Amino acid sequence: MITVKNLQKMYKIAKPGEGRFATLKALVRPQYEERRAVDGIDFTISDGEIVGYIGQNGAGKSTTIKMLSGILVPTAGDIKVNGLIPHKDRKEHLRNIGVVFGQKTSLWWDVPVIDSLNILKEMYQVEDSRFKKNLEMFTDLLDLSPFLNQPVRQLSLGQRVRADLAAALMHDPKTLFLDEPTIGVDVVAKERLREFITEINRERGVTVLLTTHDVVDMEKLVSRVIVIHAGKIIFDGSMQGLRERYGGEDADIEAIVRDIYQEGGRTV
Amino acid sequence: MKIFLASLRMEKRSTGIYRVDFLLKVMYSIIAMYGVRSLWAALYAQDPSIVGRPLSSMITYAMLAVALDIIFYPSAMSTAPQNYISQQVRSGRIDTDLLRPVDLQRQLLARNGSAALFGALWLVMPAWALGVLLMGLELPPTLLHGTAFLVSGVLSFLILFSLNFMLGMVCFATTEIRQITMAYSGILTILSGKLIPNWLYPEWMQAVIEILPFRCVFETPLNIYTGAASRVDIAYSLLLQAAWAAVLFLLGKIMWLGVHKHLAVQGG
Repeated sequence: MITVKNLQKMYKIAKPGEGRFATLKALVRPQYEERRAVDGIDFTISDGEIVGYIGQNGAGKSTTIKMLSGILVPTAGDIKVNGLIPHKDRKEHLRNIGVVFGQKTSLWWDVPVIDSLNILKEMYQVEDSRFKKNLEMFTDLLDLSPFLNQPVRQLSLGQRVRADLAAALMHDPKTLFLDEPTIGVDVVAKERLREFITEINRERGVTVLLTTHDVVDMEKLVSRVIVIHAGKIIFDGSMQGLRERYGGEDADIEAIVRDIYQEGGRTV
Repeated sequence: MKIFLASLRMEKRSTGIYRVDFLLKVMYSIIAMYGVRSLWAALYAQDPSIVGRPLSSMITYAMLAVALDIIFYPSAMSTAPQNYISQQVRSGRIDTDLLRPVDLQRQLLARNGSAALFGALWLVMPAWALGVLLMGLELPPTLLHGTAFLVSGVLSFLILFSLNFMLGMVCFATTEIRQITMAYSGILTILSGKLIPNWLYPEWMQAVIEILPFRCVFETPLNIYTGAASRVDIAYSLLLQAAWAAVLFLLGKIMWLGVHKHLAVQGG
């Protein structure tokens, strides 16, 4: 269960000054500009849901994910994930969640995948039997065996994301946050990732919140979408609901999404 | 501790992967040991009073310093905290380290410590044995000196780890630390007794070195090994090392808490 109430995040950004001595002035007394990345959002996600979190680049998706994982402290508002406040109960919270950033790996770059998994096992204090069972299951479902002994830097992107997904699930988290897991992955590999995410959601009841720009992800994978635009939530509901509200029943999702991104959404 | 063991296994494996690197280090240590041996022998032949110690004791000191340097040199290890942090900060992957339920300082200590232990067993030990067999490297005068040397070596590592860790903290503010690292390596080379034993410096400089932690990294364990330290000296030096190790570790922790708070509030 994830509850988010009036969540806000402001960033301070250094503002370049004007004039001849701007650089010098900035060194002595830097000027900041405040930018609102997340501007008062609310949502609740029940256990076992797969929710797509979509929005333009810079809309506030990753910032939200980082606050939900506890690595960023909100400027204002409340978050509760499985009864814990992420940035306050950090360590306990981190044991309950798995996070994958599609853009970057959380595995150690120049050691074999299996070694990274072994270290993570100790960090999360996963029991031997549990670890073995999970490793077998993920090796099977994600077809990890061809590259389990290869260093991460040698893996293709598709393989790397699969390894990262397995790593994020080794400690049996209740909640999974995926930040653009399918980015840059080929069609076949994407399909396999979707099947895997659906499978662990169904079999283990893992709650999944994922951000994506892939329309097929939205149509095939998620049961509900939350749309964020300029830091505010402008839609929260089923894909069907999104169609009905913005385009009509057989409207093309891609066109709807484009409209939303360009104009903040026109209701029909 | 278990993270330490898992890291140790990982280190063993990556040595298998980076074989050339390993062999080069072995070769380097042999050549460098021979080099410093010749240098001190030549100086001694000129005027024994320059060296101020029996030649055999001096070359033991210098050759062992070279051997230790393989695991202690600031930029030699990719697991050294400042190198790891700078790599993660520049690539923007540091947030994946923050997602672990283990404190960054402890994560790095486990990884760097296991790499150092591995280096001690597989690089320093063979180099030392070769020195003893072929190059006139002396054994410690008593078992007590030998044991105290090992303890002192561990403390040296802890002191160096904390100094490096603090350098890594600077990286969060500046992103780039190559220049600072160069200055730092210079200071370490000159003030730690690695290249030039401190007793050869003018008195005022010896007084300065005395109050700095750097000499605890090389000079202290080497003086114990060569038997220059009496029983009382040993007890005093080990206590001093332990005190420095504790103080610097705490300082590193305080810096990290500050950096972490800033990161969590400001974002990466």
